[in-house]
Amino acid sequence: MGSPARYFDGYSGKPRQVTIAVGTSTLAISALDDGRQIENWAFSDLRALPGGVKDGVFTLARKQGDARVECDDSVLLRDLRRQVRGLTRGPMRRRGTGRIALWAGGAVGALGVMIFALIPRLAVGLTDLIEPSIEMQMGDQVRGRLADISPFLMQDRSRACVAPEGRKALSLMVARLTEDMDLPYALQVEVWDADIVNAITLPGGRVIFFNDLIAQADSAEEVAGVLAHEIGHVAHRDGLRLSLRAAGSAGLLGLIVGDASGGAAAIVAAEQLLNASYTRDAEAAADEFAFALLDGADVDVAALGGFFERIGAEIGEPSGVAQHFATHPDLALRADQARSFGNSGTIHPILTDVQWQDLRQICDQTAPL
Amino acid sequence: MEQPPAREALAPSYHGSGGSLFWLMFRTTIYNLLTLGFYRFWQRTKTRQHFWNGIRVAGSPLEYTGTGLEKFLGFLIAVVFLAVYLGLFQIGFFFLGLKLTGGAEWVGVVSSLPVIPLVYYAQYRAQRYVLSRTQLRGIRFSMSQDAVRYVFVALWHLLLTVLSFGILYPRMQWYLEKFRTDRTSYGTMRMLLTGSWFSLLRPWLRVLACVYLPAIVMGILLYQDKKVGAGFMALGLIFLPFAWVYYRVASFRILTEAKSVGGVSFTSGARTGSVLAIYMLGYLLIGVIMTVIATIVGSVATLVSDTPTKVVVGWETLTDLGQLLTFGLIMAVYLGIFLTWSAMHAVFISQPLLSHFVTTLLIHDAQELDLVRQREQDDFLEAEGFADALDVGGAF
Repeated sequence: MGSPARYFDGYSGKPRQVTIAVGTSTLAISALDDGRQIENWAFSDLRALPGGVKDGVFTLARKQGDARVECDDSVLLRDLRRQVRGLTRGPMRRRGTGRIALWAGGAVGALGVMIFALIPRLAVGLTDLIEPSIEMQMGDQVRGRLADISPFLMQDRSRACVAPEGRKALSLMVARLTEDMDLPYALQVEVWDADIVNAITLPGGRVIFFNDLIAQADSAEEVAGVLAHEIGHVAHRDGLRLSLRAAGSAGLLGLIVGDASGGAAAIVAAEQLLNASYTRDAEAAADEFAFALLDGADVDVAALGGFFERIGAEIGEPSGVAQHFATHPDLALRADQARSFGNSGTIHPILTDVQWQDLRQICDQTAPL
Repeated sequence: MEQPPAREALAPSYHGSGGSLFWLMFRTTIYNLLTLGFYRFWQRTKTRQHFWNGIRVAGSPLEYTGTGLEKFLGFLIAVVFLAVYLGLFQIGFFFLGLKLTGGAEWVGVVSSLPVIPLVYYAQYRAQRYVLSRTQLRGIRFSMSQDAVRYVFVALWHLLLTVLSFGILYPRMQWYLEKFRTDRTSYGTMRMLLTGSWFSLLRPWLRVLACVYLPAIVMGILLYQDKKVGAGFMALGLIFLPFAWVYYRVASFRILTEAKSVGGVSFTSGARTGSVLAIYMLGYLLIGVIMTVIATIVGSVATLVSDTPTKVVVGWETLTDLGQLLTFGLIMAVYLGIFLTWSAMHAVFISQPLLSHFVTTLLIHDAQELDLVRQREQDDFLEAEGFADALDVGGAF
């Protein structure tokens, strides 16, 4: 006495009506019409297919092969569950641990080589192949974008500072620092009226000072120090280089999370970490450049150190975990580096007192951006 | 869709239960959380087993034979190739873009172009993988290996679609569907798509109308400086999602009816109204449940931290450990919400949609399926790894 079931032999799509019966160690499958046994599956070779359906239909198969038996006799299934251990285990297949380990190493290695070695190096090489004129056009466009969004960033003070005496003082400073320097393009230094204590370098030799930096500086030498640092970015073509690197590594870390399964936040954090570390390297290199430049122009290098220190005290140092996400190296360290670099020759003031006052009043006269 | 009475038709049924899917998703979602998403290969395997097993053709369930391990391996392989390919091509395209345009503003877009061919490659490979892991009556489905040609065909049609401002989109859809269908087999039976892409044009016109009519009228009104009227016309765009769903359902019906395998043919009675109802009811339910959960979690969090503002005030004085904990907490909440969302999406949207499309299908001359014979198993090293890494895995 067996249970009615439907049998597929794994070669043909034609169903056969059968009866199945649970023996002591086998499942016997017999044709319904003539009662002849078609197959006899050993319990050790038997499995029930997985599936989340609760209407009673289940499918039996062997560990290997495509023959299937479909049945809805819940008593028989309970009987089988009791007698056959590991009934719901999957089919037999090759174990892949070795291959998994191999390819996992390959995946991590490929990502690492690309992100940390190949793309940064390519970015350096390709930067040299871009004509300065192209980079200057990029810079013009970035400046245009900045000017567009500046009302949101700087409230209603988004204007360029154009007092003639101040501009004259600024160009004196630029001239003194870049005297015998061979830059890929002419420096274009300007001051914007905004309460941001910062200066930025855009591609193509554009440097923008925000007026609060000048207002908070104690001396012209401090401003000159920041300018020298920005000239470092210009000389290294950091804007273009970092753009190339970002384009190359875009989305690479995102490959790991693949479909949107929630790891996205982790990836955002990791990318932030990575960008920050690259930017920090560029900042450190620009500092090195600035120290040598100031020293060569007989400008007090230690003044830059004092400036770093004061800014650090004002905005508060990021500490611990947060420091890894910061784009700039820690300010106290930079101040120490500036002091210990010092000057090899005699120091000459970069501006006269009058010129320094002129520079501080550069925003007395403004123009639209 | 009315049936000609002379033909004997067989309707598949769907038996997947919401309860078991919910607990399956709930459980695997937790594993997914604990493994930072790496369990997803096994999660997808189990949900596919659930969905496939729920579909019955003449009483026989579909069977999904894919494994999580092979998906994981495929994903790793894809990452190796994609890391190199994307890295080199993206930086290369950005560089060439700068060189050729002289530094134009939109050059950043150029660097993302290398992804497009990969998307089609991945989609073809993913569909091929899923078919090769699908069985009915113990007989395998399969799809022949032609992903590279598929990419070129797809890019050509994509170009035509873009150049025709979207008018030729149904042509692209038709020929890509035909490309994939004509390479699909059930056992020894080849599947075919026959007919003309013009049949898709009529439903597509509704979508075009929803985009272009408001746009044209808006343009005219703006030209005449009637800004209020123009803004009013922008409201016309809210019909676009409905037109899109209508087109998706209509094109599914048309493409289904154009398909045949052996002597077997199909018709579909899928309805736009039912699909829209599933979406709206589903999202409404999810919205209500999420709101309830968010309220409970919010009140518990408030109780734990006394007042919500205290966290913000204490921020500066927090130690490294505190920052780390806060960071971890934010991550956990984010992941929790994200994955709960996907679990409920499966239960309230994906499964009802699948059920609708399955149960409205009619299989004509299904007795021909008895004639099918088995064919060899595809050995598929990289599974759907490319689709997974690029997030173009599709619905299931």
